[in-house]
Amino acid sequence: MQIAFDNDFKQVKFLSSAAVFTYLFLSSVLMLPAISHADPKNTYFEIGGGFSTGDFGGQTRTNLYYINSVIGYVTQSYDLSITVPYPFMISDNNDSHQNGMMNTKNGIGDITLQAGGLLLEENMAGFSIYGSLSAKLPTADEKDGLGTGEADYGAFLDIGKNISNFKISLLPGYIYTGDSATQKYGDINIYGIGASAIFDQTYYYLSYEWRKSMFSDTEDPQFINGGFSHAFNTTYAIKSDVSFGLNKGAPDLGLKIGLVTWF
Amino acid sequence: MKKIIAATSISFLLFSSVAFARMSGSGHMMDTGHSQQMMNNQQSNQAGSQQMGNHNNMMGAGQSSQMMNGQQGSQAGSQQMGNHNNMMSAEQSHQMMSDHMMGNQTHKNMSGQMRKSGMTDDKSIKNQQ
Repeated sequence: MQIAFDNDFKQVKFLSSAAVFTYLFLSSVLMLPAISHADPKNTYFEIGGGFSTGDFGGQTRTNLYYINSVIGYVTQSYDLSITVPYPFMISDNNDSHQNGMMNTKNGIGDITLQAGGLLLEENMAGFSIYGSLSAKLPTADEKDGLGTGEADYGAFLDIGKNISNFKISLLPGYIYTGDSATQKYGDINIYGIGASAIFDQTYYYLSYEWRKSMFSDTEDPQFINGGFSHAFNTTYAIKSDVSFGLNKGAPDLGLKIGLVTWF
Repeated sequence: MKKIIAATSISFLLFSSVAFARMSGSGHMMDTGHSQQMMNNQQSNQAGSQQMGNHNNMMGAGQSSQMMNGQQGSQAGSQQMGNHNNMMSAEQSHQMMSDHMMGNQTHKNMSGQMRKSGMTDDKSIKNQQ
């Protein structure tokens, strides 16, 4: 009875999430072109992919390959985006007792919604504050390990100061994690610092981030990441990013690349 | 002469009786011994069978136990992989959520800069943020 209720509840939750996503996605597809006519080059579509690998200090190494599609809308004072990932998860157990057992899973990942706004416009001293809210919807299959099966909500600040051509950012944030019926996840405090600069048509960035682990028995992830985005013109851009884990709580290496079109 | 024949006959009868008796006795003993041996052998066989049975049981139990352990190991391995998958997918999701991942900020920074600089398809973005 309880199991049937849980299954029904999960089904309702999944269908609700799917309905919300469908609504938002269709709204974006239908509305954004109209908005973009009013203010050209505010809407972008990104298609990309990436790779991430890590063993988190255990015997199992997980290699994650994924395809991402992002649709977003940006103005001077706010931005909106929806990210739909499709991950391919390959776990390889190096424990001799498991005889190198390999496990492959794929499916739609957790869809992410993000909205941000300018809280403090750049003042005379060069300071500005940009705030963002985001939600991770539980659209991925929890049983396959493609997601936690729960929604997470995050709030982030980018407290920036412009110095000449550079911008230095302090990056505090918080992610409220949903707990499943079988596992309690810890909420996540985030602290980061980054620097960015634009030269010609290329935007460069480098940042360090510390994050409290959502798993009680895992080190708090720390990593550095850097990358660039290059605009060929006002319509097309390419972006690439690399991250290195600094401890066992973070993936050892992450790479991603994306193609962006503005319309 | 008659006495000699009578004595010989009696001796023969006695000898025959004794011999028969001994043959019968030994036969019985032989039969008994053989039967005992056979019984022993049977018991031995039974014991052997029992031993083999036990051994088979041990093997079977051992193998089953090993299989169960292996299965449990596999389940534990799958569980471990599942946990790792969860960690990786959660990490990835949170990186996507996090506006701190400065790669996620490229769009608004590029867009803002394009707007500031009035960039067109023929113009570069100025070296300013």
